[in-house]
Amino acid sequence: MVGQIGPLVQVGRKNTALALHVLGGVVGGATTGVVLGFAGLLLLAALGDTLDTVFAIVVPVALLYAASIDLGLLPIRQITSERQTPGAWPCALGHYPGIFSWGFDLGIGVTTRIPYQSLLVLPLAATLSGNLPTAVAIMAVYGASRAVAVVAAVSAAGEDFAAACDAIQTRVMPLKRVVGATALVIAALIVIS
Amino acid sequence: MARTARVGGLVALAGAFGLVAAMLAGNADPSVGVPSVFVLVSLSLVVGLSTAASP
Repeated sequence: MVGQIGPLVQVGRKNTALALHVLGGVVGGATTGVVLGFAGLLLLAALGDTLDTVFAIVVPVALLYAASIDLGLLPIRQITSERQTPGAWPCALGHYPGIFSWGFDLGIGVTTRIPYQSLLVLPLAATLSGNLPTAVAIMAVYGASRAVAVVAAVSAAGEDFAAACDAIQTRVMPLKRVVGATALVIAALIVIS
Repeated sequence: MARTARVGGLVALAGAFGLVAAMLAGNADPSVGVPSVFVLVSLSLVVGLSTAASP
């Protein structure tokens, strides 16, 4: 994404393009959150207070499972999608709408490649929370922070986006372990709380 | 130096957005508890910020 969006923001107003990308991420994440939030409300209506028990058991177990894969402790095939954001969108939709749509697509969370298995726990937790604002907060923050990460990488790259992509690739495994370790801590905190 | 400050500012901005979102969600009285909302939003933040390389 950095390699694609980086050269594009050199055309036109850079800050506007990057702000639209972040806005797209927030809207994409919030959209997923609204859908999952309503699904959670349906579950709450069906299960009542039992949903809290389901949340307290399923979410920590899912985090433990995902963290084990992200940390490399469980060498099993990862659940992922091979789809990538279409590179033609800025041509097909226009410059700024294309950049917004990239943010939206990535912000949805599950329509493109899933780099960390811990990511899959977010929509699960959003649904099982049985609360619309909670689901929107979880997914919108994911969409926003994912878009901000792209903006930060583009900002730090200067003009050399290929080198920035290489630098990011060298950090994928350490980042995966950071995400896995964080998922473990979050699982423990949910059990304690 | 300026680039580091800019990246740090962006990450801080994402953190502030997460904090506000978690506070707003916490005010909606979630049955899973406010602490769970905060820790899950924190996980969203960490996973999202770690995903710049993904297409």
